[in-house]
Amino acid sequence: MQRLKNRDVICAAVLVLFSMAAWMQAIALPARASLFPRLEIALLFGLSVVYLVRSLWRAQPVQSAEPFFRNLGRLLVALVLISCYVFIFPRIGFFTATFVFIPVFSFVIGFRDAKTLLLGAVLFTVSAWVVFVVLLGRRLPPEALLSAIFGGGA
Amino acid sequence: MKFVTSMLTTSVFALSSVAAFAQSDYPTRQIELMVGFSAGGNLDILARQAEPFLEKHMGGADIVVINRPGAGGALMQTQLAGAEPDGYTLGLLSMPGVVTVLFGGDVDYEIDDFEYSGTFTFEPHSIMVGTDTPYETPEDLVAAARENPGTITIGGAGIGSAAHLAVKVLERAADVEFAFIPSPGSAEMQNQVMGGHIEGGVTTISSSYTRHQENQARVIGTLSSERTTVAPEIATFGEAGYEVEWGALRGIAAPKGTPQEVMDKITEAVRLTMEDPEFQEIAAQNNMLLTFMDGAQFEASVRKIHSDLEEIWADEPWIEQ
Amino acid sequence: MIEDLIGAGFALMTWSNVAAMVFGTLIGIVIGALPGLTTTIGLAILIPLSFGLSPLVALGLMAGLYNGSMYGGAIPAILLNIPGTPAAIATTFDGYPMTEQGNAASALRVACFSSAVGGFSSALALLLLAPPLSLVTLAFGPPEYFWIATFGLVSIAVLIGGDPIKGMISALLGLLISSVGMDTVTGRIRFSFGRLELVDGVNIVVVLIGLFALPRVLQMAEDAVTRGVRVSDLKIGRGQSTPFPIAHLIPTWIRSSVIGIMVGILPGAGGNIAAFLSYNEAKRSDRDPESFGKGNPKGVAAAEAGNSSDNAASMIPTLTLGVPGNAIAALIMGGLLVHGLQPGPSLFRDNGEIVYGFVLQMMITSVLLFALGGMIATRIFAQVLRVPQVMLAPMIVALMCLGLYTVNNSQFELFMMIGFGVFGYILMRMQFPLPPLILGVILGGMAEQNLRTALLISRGDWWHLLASPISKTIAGLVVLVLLVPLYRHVRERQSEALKNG
Repeated sequence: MQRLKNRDVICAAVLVLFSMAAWMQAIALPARASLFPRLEIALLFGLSVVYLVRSLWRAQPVQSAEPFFRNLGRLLVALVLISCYVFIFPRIGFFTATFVFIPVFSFVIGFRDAKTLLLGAVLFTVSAWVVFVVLLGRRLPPEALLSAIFGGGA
Repeated sequence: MKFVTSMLTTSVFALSSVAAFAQSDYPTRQIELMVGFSAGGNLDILARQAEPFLEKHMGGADIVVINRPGAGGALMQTQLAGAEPDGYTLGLLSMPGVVTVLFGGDVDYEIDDFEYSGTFTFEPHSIMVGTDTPYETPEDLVAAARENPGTITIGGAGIGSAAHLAVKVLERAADVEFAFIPSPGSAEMQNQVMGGHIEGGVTTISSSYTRHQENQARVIGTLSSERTTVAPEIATFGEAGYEVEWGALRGIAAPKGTPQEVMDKITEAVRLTMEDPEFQEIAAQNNMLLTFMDGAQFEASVRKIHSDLEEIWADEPWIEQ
Repeated sequence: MIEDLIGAGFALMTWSNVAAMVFGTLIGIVIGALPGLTTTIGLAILIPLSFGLSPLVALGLMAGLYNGSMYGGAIPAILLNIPGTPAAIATTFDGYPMTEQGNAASALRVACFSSAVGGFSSALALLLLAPPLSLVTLAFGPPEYFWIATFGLVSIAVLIGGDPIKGMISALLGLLISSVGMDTVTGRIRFSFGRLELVDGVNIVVVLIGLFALPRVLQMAEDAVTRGVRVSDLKIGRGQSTPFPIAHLIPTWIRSSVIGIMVGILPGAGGNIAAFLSYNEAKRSDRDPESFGKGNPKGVAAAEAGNSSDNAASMIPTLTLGVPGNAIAALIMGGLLVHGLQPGPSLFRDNGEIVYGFVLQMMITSVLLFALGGMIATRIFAQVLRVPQVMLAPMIVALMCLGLYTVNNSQFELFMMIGFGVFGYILMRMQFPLPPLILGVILGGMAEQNLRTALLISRGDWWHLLASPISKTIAGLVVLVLLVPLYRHVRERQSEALKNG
């Protein structure tokens, strides 16, 4: 109960701070261009203050007593892996990156069935290639790794 | 991880620099033709329709159209300005957009950053008015604006857009003042004109002429000296004595420093494409107003518009800083 | 209009268009059947992927996915008591009891027929109402559009979810996102932090995928469910289905369709509300309300006809005014924009064939459910429940990236999508409703642009905003909607006082 109340207080406080920061950004603009954003930020500030006061005043009825993160470790791992994937695939090619990404992601998160992992990666990569490259003729980043290994062609 | 990435980037670089020095037999690998707008737009359609003909007239080259939309084309033009000047990165530019984005924004390329090649189309802007307005000719509109300065509402895409600057140029040529009403795009402006919420609007002749033919609005004139082939019965502001030449000019450019030899090859391919009867047929179907200019003429036109706009900007900057 | 309709009919008869509708409906059923994947997530992934296809093919996929997923959600709802989509919650009330009584096959068939009937009547309403409405909207000028945008925004912020404060904060965050980029009225660039990528504003597709699909992926990673549902848990009875009570269901279908269509047209509510309302109405008006919740086929029919008849109807304000009434409609509008189709009167005028094609596709794909929702097919669809979620998560990420990257070739947008994903995750955990935020992004520009254009035309006279009777009416509605939470509050106090006193 206590924890849930704190969570809303923190969120409301962040919103109040955010609207103040946004206001500083908005007043740097000419008045005519920032009329509407200023209006929005002022309203946001007002509502955030109401939200803050309300969450300090009384704890909200608890709909679910579950913790904020169900599993912070796995969440962070997932985020890091997704970011790496997004960083790499425009450089080494979509299919190379995806073929590696799917089993690595599932393995790290906790799925350890090697056969299914490999089968899933192969099936997904091949069907994505057939649908998007062969059928739809979509242009994707060149598969640098494949062409380096097999010498062009890919 | 770091090792893998650096290894990969090196191999990418190695691949891309292989063909950079072989120019006499240009092109030896895939040419990227960048378009600064989303797929499906006017410029993208032009690029995709011209692409097979350019390939054919460049001796079976491999050209691929890539959309890099953003900042009204400025994102692509910045990339083009910074690209390797080897003829393998080209851009399809749209005037006056290339120049207008230079004013009042954070754009850091200049018109000197490009080598200019051939153009495909020139499509003048036009003024359309609501059917219940009294204006029939360019003279009517100008006379009305002279009588009531700053009250006649003329709409068009946002401040700093080609449509807005078209109004500015006309205002200066005719020495009058309108009330410009910016809208998000041409479609919204047309709705406002047809619904009678504003009196007139500016857009390119091919889109306004459709409204004219369907009697939903009246096009009173194009902002050019010569009449167009798609709408020969529409008068021009030039005929009425107001010297304006404002429209969308579309052509190919490459980064500064691209060898002359390569530029000549591209320009020649554009010229041959324009003469290709098959391409002319496609262009006619799409209401494109084909106009070929070579690199020198294209560049001159860009410089002229740039200096005109600089003059207006010095007088009355249209974007508040 | 008639020529466009006939033209659209012929245009749909090509192989690629037929394939798109069949394929879209199949994907929709699968996505609906997978608990955790909803219509919104499916559309968010599909929209960028469909980019580059011809508009009618892309819209056929979307229409199929929309109608298919509404039925697909019923499959696990009936078989496992797990609603596949939020709209299928009401389907579990009578669907699962029917399964327990060994009538799973019959329940699935009722669900399939009801979804098809609901979807068809809704598409009929779209066809009859949208074109005339689009002509009326030409009379709407900047003041009227300002009020309509405000009305759409306020009603979804206030009426969705239990907490109007959080709803309004969510909408305001969306409005702020929409103010990034070039301001058309002054030409000034706002909040771009020197990035050229932000000058045109934040790409709506990035926001849609980031907010709707990525938080779900992160949640799948957190839960790390490595097992799918075992086949032995699926109790699809063979041969013991009871005779199909079509005649008894017709009144329920009519009632539920009317309710669903009304809910669809009004902003703020979605398929789940339509399903609840029509379930309650069916129960209330029945001669034997006690039988509901204990395996009454009418309960399944009411819920499924209700949630499907919301579908096409929610496209009426979207196509005619550019104001989507709920999150799914907002996504489809995002899809239209990706293909350069701007909702409003110009859509029906300039792209008649495409827009009527879409209306017909909504109609055809709902009828397709009869063919694709058969017993054998449903047994196959139920097998997707066996796919382990941990493998599904990276595949969704790959599809999101593939779609987004091929639209604009921009890595910046990919990272922005991850940013919005984290943002959406936090909002979801704090129980902020996400639909108001999306509507804020879509309607923010419309509200601001029209307010300022109105003031430019009237040369600064604010009363111009209330000059026409249409403006006055919509402004009045905005005030009414804003009073709803107050009214609720007072009523709660009263009932509390009654209890205590």
